[in-house]
Parts: sequence; C-alpha cells; structure tokens
Amino acid sequence: MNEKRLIFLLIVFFSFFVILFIRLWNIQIKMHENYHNYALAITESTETQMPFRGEIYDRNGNLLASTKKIFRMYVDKSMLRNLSKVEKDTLIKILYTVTGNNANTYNSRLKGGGKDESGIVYLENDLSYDKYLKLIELKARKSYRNLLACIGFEKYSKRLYTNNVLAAHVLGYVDKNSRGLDGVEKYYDKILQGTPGKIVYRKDARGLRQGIIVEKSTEAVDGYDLELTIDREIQKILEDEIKIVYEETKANSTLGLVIDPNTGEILALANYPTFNPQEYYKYSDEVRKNKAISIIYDPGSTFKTFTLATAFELNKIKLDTLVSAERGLFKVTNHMSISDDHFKFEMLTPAEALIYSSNIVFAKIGKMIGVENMNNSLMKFGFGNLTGIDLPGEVRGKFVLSNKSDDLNVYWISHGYSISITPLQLVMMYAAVINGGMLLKPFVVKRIFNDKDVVVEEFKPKEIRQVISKNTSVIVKALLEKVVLEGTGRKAKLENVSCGGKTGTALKYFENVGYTKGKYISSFIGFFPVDNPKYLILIKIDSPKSGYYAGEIAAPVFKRVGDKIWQRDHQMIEINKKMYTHKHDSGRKVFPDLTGNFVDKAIETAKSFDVKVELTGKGDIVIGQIYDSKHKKVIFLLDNSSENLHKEGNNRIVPSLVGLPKKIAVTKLKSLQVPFVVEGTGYVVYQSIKPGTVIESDSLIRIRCN
Amino acid sequence: MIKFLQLNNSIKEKVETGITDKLDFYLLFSSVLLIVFGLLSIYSSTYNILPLHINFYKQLIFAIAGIGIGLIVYFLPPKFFDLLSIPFYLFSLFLLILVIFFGKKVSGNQNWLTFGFISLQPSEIAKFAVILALAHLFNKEYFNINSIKGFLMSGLIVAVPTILIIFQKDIGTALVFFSIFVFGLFWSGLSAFSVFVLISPAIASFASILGIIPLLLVLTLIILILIYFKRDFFLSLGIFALNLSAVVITELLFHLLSPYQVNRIKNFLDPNFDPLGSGYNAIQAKIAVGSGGLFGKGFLAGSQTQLKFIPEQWTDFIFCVVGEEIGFLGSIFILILYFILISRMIYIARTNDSLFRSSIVIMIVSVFLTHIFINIGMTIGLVPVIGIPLPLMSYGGSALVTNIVMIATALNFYAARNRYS
Repeated sequence: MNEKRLIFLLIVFFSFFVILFIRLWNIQIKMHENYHNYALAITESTETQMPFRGEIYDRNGNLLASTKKIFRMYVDKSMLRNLSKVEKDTLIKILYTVTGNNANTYNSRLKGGGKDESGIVYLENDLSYDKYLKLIELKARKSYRNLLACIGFEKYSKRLYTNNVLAAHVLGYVDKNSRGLDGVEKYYDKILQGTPGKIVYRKDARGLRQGIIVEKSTEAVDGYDLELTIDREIQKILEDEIKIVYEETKANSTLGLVIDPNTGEILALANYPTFNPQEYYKYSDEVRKNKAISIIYDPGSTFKTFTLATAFELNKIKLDTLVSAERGLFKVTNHMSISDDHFKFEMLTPAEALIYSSNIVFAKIGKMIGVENMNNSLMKFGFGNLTGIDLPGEVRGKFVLSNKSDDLNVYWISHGYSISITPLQLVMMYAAVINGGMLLKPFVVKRIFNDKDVVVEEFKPKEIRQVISKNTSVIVKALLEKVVLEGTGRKAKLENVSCGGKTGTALKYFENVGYTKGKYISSFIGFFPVDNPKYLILIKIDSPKSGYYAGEIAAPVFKRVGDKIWQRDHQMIEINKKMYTHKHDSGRKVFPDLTGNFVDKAIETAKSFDVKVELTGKGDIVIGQIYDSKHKKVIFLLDNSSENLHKEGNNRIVPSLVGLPKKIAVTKLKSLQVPFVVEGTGYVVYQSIKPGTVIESDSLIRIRCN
Repeated sequence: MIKFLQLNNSIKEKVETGITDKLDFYLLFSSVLLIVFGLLSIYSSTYNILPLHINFYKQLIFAIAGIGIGLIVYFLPPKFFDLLSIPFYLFSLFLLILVIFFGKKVSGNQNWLTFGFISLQPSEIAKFAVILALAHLFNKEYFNINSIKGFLMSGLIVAVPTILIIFQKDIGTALVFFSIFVFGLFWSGLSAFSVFVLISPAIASFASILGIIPLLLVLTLIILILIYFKRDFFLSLGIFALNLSAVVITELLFHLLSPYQVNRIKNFLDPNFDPLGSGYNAIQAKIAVGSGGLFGKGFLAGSQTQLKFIPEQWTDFIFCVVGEEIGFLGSIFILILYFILISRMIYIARTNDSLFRSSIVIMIVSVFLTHIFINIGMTIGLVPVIGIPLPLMSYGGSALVTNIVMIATALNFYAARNRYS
C-alpha cells in the first residue's frame, strides 16, 4: 500500500485528536474556574434567612423592647410535583386545619398556575407564632415529613416598644429594616441583630428548586437578648416626676438620672420632652437626643463638691479652716470679680461654704488647690474624657486650664464655671465621692442572653481608678448630708431615709454670647441612704421660666423621686412579709416557694421564718430551693447551679410560674431540665401543668406569656 | 504512532499462532469499554428523568443485540461482504425512500422509520451500505479511479443516498457520506490533484461561513496549490471558478437552510448570539464540560447533567456527561480509547493486502473519525452544532448496532489479513 497516503492519513487522524486534546485542556483546565462559577450561578439559588432581633429587658426581666415574629408560609411547587393527588388533598387539609384559613384558597394556590419562576407560592403572609410552631412540630414528625417537605417559612421581625415612651433615650430606636439607629439598639446593634443564615437551593434548568444543598446552607442565629441595668419601676417614677416639673416650671427640658453609685449601673435615665421609639421619625433631633451624655453644660454649684473633695484630699483645707467670704464681693482683679448674691459673710468654714454654697470661698479654695493640682484632679475624675458608657453619642466636655500657675480660670472652675461637662460626668464624679473614692465606668447593659436564653456575657462593675481616699469620701458625704439638713437643699430631705446632696443654680452659657442673666440651669444631685448609698439621683432643669433656684424647684423633685423609690423598696419587703405571715397565721407552717425571687429578698423572707440559709452557685435569682423542715434549713440554688438541683432533688416538682417574667420562668424551667414550650413574651399568664405536680420523664410544660 | 504500527508490522512477519492472531484485543476492548462508558453516561443523564430511565435498558438491549449481530459478522467468510454489498446497498436505498414518505420527525431531522415498537434510522444503516458498495466498485477489475467514468460511478453510489438524506434535512449525516467518499477515493489511489479538487470547494465554503478573512486566506492558498501542481492554465482557472461557485452556493444554501440550522451556524460563530434560544445547547454543553475540571464532579453528581441543563443529552451531547462527571482525565481516557480504536483499524487496513478489505476499513475509519471530531467538537465549541451522535456512546439503537457491525467487520478482516480472498 502507498506509504505516503498512510502517513498523510495518520497526520490527519493525529491532528484531529491533538486539536480535541488542546481544546479540552483549554476548557476543562485553563478556563475551568470561569465555567465552574458560571455553573454555580445557574444551578444554585440562595435565600437569606433573617434572624429575629434580640429583645431588651430591664434588670428584673420586664420586657422593654420586644420582637414580633412574623412568618410567611410558602409552598415550593417544584417539590409539590412529587406528591400524588390524594397526598395533596391531605396536605391542604392539614394546612387549613392548623391555620383555620379557607381550604379553597389553598386549593387554588397549590393547584393553580403559580407564575413565580422559582416555583414559590405564598400561602400565608402573616402566620402567627403559634401556628408556625404547630406546623414546625408537624413537619418534624416522621409521618408528615414527606408531605410537608414542600412547605417553607420565611421569617421577619418587627420591633415593638411595649412600654411606649419608657426609657426611650436608653433604648433608642430602629429603622424599618430593624437596624439600630440610637441608644442601646445602636450600640449593641450587631448583637441584637444576630447572624443571617442562608438556604442554598439546587435549581434545575427550568429554574425550579430541587432541594437544599445542606453543606452550603447555614441556619440563622437569632439576635441575643439584652438585660439592662435599668429598673422599669424607677424609670417610670423618674419619668413621671421630670415631666411634672417640666410642666410646672415651663422649662426648656428636664433630665433625670438614677444610678447605683457602688456599681455604676444606670438604674434610670430620662429626658423630657421625650419620644415614642415606635414612631421616632415624628420627633425632632433635639427631642431624641440623650442629653445625659450628649450635651455639655456649666454645672455651677453642684461642682463645688469636686473642689471640696480635691482640697480635702490634698490637705489644702481642714474642717476648721476659715476662709474669708469677702462680704459677698471678691475682686480677683480690676476687671474680674466673683460675688455671692444672697449673703455677706466674713469668714466661713468649708462646711458652711458648702451649706450656703459660697462662690467666693470655693473660688479661693480653688486657688489654694492650685492650677496644677486642679488640672490633675480634673483629669483623675475623668473630666474632658468619655465616661465610656455603652451608649452612642457621648461627648467629652471640655475645660480650659493652662499650665501657668496664675491662670484665673481656676477661680471659676472651682465653683462650676468655665468647665463644660455632661450630666453623666457629674454623676460619676459624685458616685466616686460618695462610694469611697472609686471612679466607675457607667453601664446600661447588665447581661447578654443568647438565642437559647443562656447568659453569654455578664458585665461586671468596672473600676477605673481610686480618685480620693475613703476618708475624704466620708467627710464630703457627711457635709453633703448637712446641705440637705441645714443648707440650700432642705427641700430635698427624704421622709424615711437619710440623704445628702447639693444644689446647683448655674447661669446658662451660650456659645459666642457668654453667660446670660435670666437663663439658668437648676439642678440637684443627691443620694441615699447616707451610710451606704444605694441610689444617686440627678435632677436637672434647663431654663425654667417660673422659679429658678435649684433648692426650690430641683430639690423637691429629688425628694419625690427618692421617697417613691424608697417606698417601693420598702413595700416589696412588706408585701412579701405579709404574704408569708398570712400563711403562717393560717396554722400551717408552710415554707414558701421562693424560686424566682431575687436572692436578697429570698434570704430576708427565709430569715423571717427563722430558717437558716445556705447558698449554692452564683447569681441574683433563686432558681430552686431545697427545704429541710426538720433542721429548719433551706438551700437556695442560684443561677448556674442546676446540676446540683438535679442530683439532690429526686422528685422534681413543677414550680408556680404564673406572674413571673418570661425570662425568669424560662430560667427556672431550664434548671429543672423539663422540656417546655413558651409562647409570647412578658409575664406568664398560663402554665399547662399545675404547680406542685411531680415532673415525669415525659412531661412537657407549655407556658403562655402576655 | 508510526513506530507503534511498524512494531506490529514486524511482528506480523513472524508466523503467529494463537488467539491474538485471530482476534484484535485492542480493538475489541476499546470498543467494549466505550460501549460501557456510553451506557453509564446514558444512565447518569437520565437518572433524574423518570420516564427516560428506560433509555438505559433499551441501549443495553441494543448493545447485547448488536454484539450478537457483531459475532455473526465476525465469523462471516470475508467474501460474503462482497457478495452482499449490492443487495444491501439497494435495500438501504429502499429504506431511505421509505423514510421520506413514512418517516417520523425527531428534533428537526425526519429520519426515523417505525415498525411497531422498533424505530429504525435508515441513514445509519446506509453508511455501512455505501462503504460496502464503494469497496465493491473499487475491487472491480475494470475500475480506474483516475478515469472520469470511475469517478462518476463512485460519485453516483454516494450521491444517491446523500441526496435522499439531504431530503430529510440531516446535514450531519450527509457530511459523513462526503467524508466516506473522500477517504475511500483517497485510499483507492485517487491522484493528489483530484483529491485537492474534491476537498478544496468544501474547505472554501466552510471558510466562507467563518468570514471574509478566512475565505480570502483559503482562496489564496488554493491559488498557491494550483500554481504548485502546474496544470493546464485553463483547467486551473476552471478549478478556481469551481471553488468560487462553491462559495456562492454556500451563501445561497445558507438562505435555504432551515432556520434552526442557520441559527446553529450563527451561534457557532458567536456563542452569545442567542444564549437562551438556539445557542443554548452550545453554551450549556461548554459550561458542563468546563465545570468538570480535572477530576470531574463524580458519577451522578454533575450539576448541569443532573439538573437537566442540556436537553436530549443522552443523544448528541453525551460527551458532556463524560466531561462534567469524570472531568478532563475521563475525557482524555475516552479520547485515548477512540485513539486506540482508530489506530487499530488503520493497522488492519494496512495489513490487508486486499484493496476491497482495506478500503472498507479505511472508510469505517472515516465514519468514526468524522463522528468523533464533529460530535466532541460541537460539544466543546470547536465546530457548529451538527447533530451527529458519538459512536458507541450516544443513545440510539440503529447507530450502535451499525457501529458494532462495522467494528466486527474490521475484526473479521484482522483475522483475514494477508490472505487473498
């Protein structure tokens, strides 16, 4: 045969294969990435699963901001094809039995031509949480799994501020996409938001979903819940009172702050005028502004406490030091004088100067302290710096004091002028002065609970630095009590408890204008009880129009707020006592179930029964108790001691949950390790198993909150 | 590769005994493996389409039946092929005429005959019939390929079934017939100049589809080759005119082609011409193969295949399954199997001294080569989408049985090599 033709044939044959090889190499190796991505793009469709926003509770588990869970139910038509006609009818029957909707609606939507490309047809747009839970439960059952596989849910969350305006400036607000815009909502936005999940579907050539790619799909993690340091009841008291004084004095605005001076926890924070976070957009920026941290003012006389504490700390003065009060007018230079308008004293002790609030004496004490010391002390107390509170929009404030020892500003700063501070800075200064000298970091969020109601983070009081000695603190505290007993703060004196405090009537400073006659900021800052202060309260009234002396208008507000808080604390103890004594009187010595109470209250009650108390675990809330009637002994189990309970309490008993905040009820049930279902939020209004019933291995407790 | 053939050549000269002398295991095993891979690919491509699971079993039955028929063919005395050639040819022409009147249309091609529950594609059978008829003609003592008469006679044998097939709008198969014709004449000694005259108009018309620059390049090349052959000036001019008229006819035909064929060509030239319409298959096939990567996505795990992105994949786009699910390595493995298959057939053609037998095998080679190149080429965007199946792998009984019969013929001739018939 012709060799040449054979070779030619072989060349053609060989080159065909080489061409194919090169092309395959190009497509499958070189361009693989492109084609791979393209293939993914056309075979997968991703659906974002939005998490529910976390809820916000007060320190006692009362709901402040809740999340309404809204569900949409849809059917995936591409999966519906796998069902027979009989199965479809069963499916429709199940759906309308649960939802109570009309069967015909489902019929037409399931069987009719849904034109949605993805094969998704929505059946319900606003499915309640109840019904959603039922359907999910059904879907999880083996017998219904295949039938309900084509049913899916999309969830949405809507923020509801359950107490209207309450704590508006602490909570802040969210936009319509549930993104935090202010307050705690903004500061903890990421934590509240949660992590979106996604469902990645396989999509066929017609765009129909062909099941879920499990490896690529992730569950949404719901946002975490916050427990604030805010006490709802104190907040309410404070808001009511600053509203009243706002109306009485026709002020520009009023502000109140209640903190625990030993921990830095903000117990209440209120501004008036206030706003409803639900409709935040209807209010002006000025109203929405949290003036406790984002405005600065010259504090005036309330600042004298700082000067006094500094002077005592540095041993510049003693209790018996006499300072000339210059008969009411002190010429510092030819152009500058400081006056006391309402009295003309010769000489004053520091105590008297504080009681009568002498500007001249404090100016002089300031000079005695000296510029350098004053500067250091101001910095030590954190002025000109952020307090570091966990709220957005805090400002630093400022003061001008040069390094020159003859800076005249020292005369002014020492009685509260030429220095701009935030109300919170003032409060934190007082807290340090009365708590033994420790400057604390203020905070509003106490604990963070994850989506399974487990505490993931607990904020402990944070000490910044010791600013004055304990001794100085005791002295100044005692002098502040005198102010209330004998001085300008007499109208602040509380009914049943010792208290101390200081008035401040400051001329308002306007940028470019200076201090303006007739425009005042009246404030009173006080604390109680004096021995071991539990509450520190600031009342601040901006530009009152009828009356302006702090001692006349701000001190009474402090009194009303303080009395009410004290009364509340006292009443609760009384109520508890009465309740248990009543039982006691009825002849049966039944030791009450104290689970769910705060630990200090529980101990108090137990003592009233002459019962010895032992504590296990750490935490604030009693989540279980073991009562030994023979030895008159009770063991309280606190938050994280559930394991012990499980071991020791052989016959676990269903506790009474009705009336408890949801959070506490849930904690209790968790500690008992009973399966349970919770519906709704707020307070428990119903529990499916009666209290006192012994928990069986198959018990399931259903509780409903309202 | 030539070495490989020569090596075998030297072995041939020794006196061989035993089974390897009677049976070409390379050819047999590569064919069987290809059929197996074809079956697996059909299984995978219909895996998610419940009513079409049956295709796998149908193909399996066809393969078994085909191997049965192949066994008979393998054991036929070689002279039978000569005896049967003309009756078989006439029979296939009869079927082709029948299909024009009673044919069933499948995806644009009207080339199916249905007898009860068996569907037949006469164009597949006609391929082998034409091969036998041509070989019969080449074997005649009076036949001279380089005479006008000889050329016209062989041309007639191919033209009649080709025209009948063009009637059925099956351009792909018509192309295969042309390929058989060229390879057959080339192997039986048609002068190089004549081969050039035969092929050049086809190349020129293809170039005209590609665009003006490729066309000018090809025409220049034709002029250079004409100068090289130094034939009579007017003859050369005439041949050049023939090429030009081929170009003109192509342009005219382009307008006469059915719209889907025009679109297929437009899509080949510009893959994004109509990505969701007529260009859809070409794009999706490339995505499937390209996304397979080096190792592929695994059997039954190709997203594009399983999610039905390539319509009718089990027929003409079966190579997508290979490319996507077993990747570049799998694709190369399949290419190597085809490579072995064809090189063994070329070896058989070379070792058969009978022109009748060797030209049959070479024409079988032409059928396989054309099918493989066009089919895989269209899957990976090398050539326009021309609907012809991948030999031994694509779903289709007629094609599978015909291909097995052709392999069996080659195996028969392997056993009969160096024997004069």
